[in-house]
Amino acid sequence: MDKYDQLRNRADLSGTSHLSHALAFGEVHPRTLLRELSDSPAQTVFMKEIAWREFYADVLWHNPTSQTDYLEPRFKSMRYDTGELASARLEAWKQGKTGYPMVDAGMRQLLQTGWMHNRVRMIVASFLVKDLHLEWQQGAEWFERNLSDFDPASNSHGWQWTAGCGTDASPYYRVFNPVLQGLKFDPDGNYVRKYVGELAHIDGPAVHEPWLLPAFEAPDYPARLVDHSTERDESLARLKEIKV
Amino acid sequence: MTTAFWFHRDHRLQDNQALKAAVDSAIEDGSKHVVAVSVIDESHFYELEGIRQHSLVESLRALDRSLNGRLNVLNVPNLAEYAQKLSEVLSSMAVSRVFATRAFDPAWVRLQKRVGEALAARGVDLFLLDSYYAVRPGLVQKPDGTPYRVYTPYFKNWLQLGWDSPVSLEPSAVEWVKLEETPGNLGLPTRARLRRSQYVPVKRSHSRLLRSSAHEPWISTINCATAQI
Repeated sequence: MDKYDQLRNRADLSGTSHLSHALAFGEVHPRTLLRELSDSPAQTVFMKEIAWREFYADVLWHNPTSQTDYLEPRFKSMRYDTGELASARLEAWKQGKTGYPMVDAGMRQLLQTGWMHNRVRMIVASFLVKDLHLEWQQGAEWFERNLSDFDPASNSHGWQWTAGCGTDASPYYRVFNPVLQGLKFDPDGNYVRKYVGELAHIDGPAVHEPWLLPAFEAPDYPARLVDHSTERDESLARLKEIKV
Repeated sequence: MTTAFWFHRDHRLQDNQALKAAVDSAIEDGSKHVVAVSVIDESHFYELEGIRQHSLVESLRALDRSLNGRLNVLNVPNLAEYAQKLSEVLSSMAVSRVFATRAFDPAWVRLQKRVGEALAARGVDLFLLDSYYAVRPGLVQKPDGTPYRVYTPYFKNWLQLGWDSPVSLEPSAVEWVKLEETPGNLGLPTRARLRRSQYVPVKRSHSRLLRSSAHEPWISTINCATAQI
């Protein structure tokens, strides 16, 4: 716990507390944990994460419809994709076959272990909403079915934070770049290699951009579902439409 | 006089204020009998993916062990029948008071209200205490009494309010009552009924196996399905 502040965002290390399941099932009460904390910088960051859990429970208590609906109503009128292509893209996201290694590693970690690193949850959520133009509720439902640490308030409001429609949320125009996020929080590519078997033979950080390598290097890995920079522009254009 | 405790998302004996209140109440009335019950809503549970089903079952199993095998797990077909079935079973045990930790999310707020009404119809009281949080939702407020919409000032105020010290429980101070007449809807789901993992592993590339340094150090993440055992 003494390096929690420095390591909690690293997807390739075991730097998070792994207490989320125990908290979700109530095997431990947050009071019990708070009592043990010192005021060191690392443990203060952990305390702030406990407080985020409490903040979201408070927001949900005051806004019960935000369990499944947009807290910021104007995002409801945004253009989202529907239809066959959208369904196929949602399915590829669920199965970890988007062609973006960091996104796919996260989604497969969820399928394999029932848990996903917190930083990677933000990356896959941003991808669903801003690269695939799907509604956050579709992702939140999948998380609910799969996450062993599922918590109703943290799930809905974690998603709404990323989707830009929550309270004190990340602004919508902040679109996570799945490659840069991968290079930053999985700098050697170990996290991707662990969960994406088709890329396990690619050394080092190059695993985050397999399309830069000769085609035969990863023949079984899916091609990119969408082009990130194109979809980033598209989602910013859609944001403009609801900002009167 | 029998007291019951309804477990939901508070699978622990220590620092459980509502459970402590249930046990104290059973000691005060002299009966010293407590029925510990947890309910599985089958329509929801069997929709979950395998790993999540297993992790819930393992969490309940651990709770059952901490109660020396005296946890009663009631299976109900859906949310609509939850309150009715639970109140039926508890009143058949001559339970007169039920305790639970108060929930604050909309689905469980509604359910606890329905259970309270179903129990009241049978003359049984439901006491909802504490919360799943150090500071219960609704307590942290701006000076004008409205809720914070921004995290940082919420955090400062939350920290100032503070929280209770953990309470401890002596579980052997009461007798945990096991429902013996198994009506077919009691007990943890058997492993055979749980879903298998949907995940199909992708074959690792051959070039990986040919490399001399096939083994790379990896700091393993905790396997969530077994972490709480």
